[in-house]
Amino acid sequence: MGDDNTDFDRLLAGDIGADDPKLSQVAAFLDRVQTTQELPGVAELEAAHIARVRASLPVLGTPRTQHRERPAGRTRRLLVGLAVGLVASLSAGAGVAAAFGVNPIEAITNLPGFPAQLRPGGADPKNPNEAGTPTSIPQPTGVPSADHPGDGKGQTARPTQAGGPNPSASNKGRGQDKAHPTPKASKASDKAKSGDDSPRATGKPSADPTKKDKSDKDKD
Amino acid sequence: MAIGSRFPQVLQAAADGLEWAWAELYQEYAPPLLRFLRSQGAADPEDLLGDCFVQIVTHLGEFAGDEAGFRSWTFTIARSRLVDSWRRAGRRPVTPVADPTLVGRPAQHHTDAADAQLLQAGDVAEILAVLTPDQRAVVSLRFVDRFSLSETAEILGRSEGSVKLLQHRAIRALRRALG
Repeated sequence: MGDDNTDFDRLLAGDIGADDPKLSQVAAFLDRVQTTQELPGVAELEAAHIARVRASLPVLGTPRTQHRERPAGRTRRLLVGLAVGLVASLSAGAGVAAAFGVNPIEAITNLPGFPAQLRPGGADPKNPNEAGTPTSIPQPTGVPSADHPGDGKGQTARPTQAGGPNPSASNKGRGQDKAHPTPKASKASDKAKSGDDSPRATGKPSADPTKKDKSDKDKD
Repeated sequence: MAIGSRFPQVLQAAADGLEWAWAELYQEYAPPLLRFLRSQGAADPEDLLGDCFVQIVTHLGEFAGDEAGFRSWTFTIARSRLVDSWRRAGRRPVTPVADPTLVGRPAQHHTDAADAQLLQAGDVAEILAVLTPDQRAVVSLRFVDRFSLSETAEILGRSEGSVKLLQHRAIRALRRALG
């Protein structure tokens, strides 16, 4: 290798004697390379390429210092990247938790040291039955569930339905469609369940219970 | 044919976006860059040359140095664009042949000087085809464009030792091909 690099230096310097005919051949070939690879003309390309240069430099003609606002751009990119990363990690975490059948919010709130007042409903996770707010989804009580035709829920819902929906001033005593009980009916039944039967608790204008019965009778 | 002592002013004017400066830089550096791209078997050397100047514009703020350094830097960009084009095409470079139809023409055409020159170019290209792309780049950069060993190493993104090894192998391959 050393010899060849010496040869290379000799080739570069053009110092080739008659002692090595093969190297002389290589030297002659490299001369041919130089002569065949002449500088090409670029006149016909110049206009198009300078136009590309101009397009790549939109601030052409303005001082160089004016397009040095990289720190702001970097900060913005960093913030956007952080936000995207946070959303992605939260989504991934929630996805993993869901895959394991764990409610991610519940899992977080059950962590030791998590403030009790920040837990949903302020309930003690060790005694979930004492939760301040019901955790089960309210069932529509308008029609007894086919799955539970005679359970207690159906029984409790029936009086509300039998008594008819709370007549409000707006519907003037018209009952709601029994075939499609609405969440209002559920709320009413929930109130009935909890024993709070005051009209105010329903959030609706007060109505005379006797009138309610009367309208129901009329309806019947 | 260099810009010479005016180079710092021309470079500053180009950095300031003055079109006359870019025209001067183009006229000075585009011909050797195009020759290099052609010699390396670029599929579309003219288009790559345009890409090179776009890169030069984009990264001019990162350059610091004299005219020789700038020349070397432009070749580094050209080499980078060349390698990118090979990757995009998903293949190795094409063998640089001047005009395949001219290779092996009947002898009576040798009387024409232009044809003889094209035939010589075809022969040279055929012999250069025995070299690997990196060996060919070293031969072109060292012999044709007269870059130093360190400049060639910088352009190719290799160590000087690696360039010396490429030189050694290129000379050995040429000895075999010409013998």
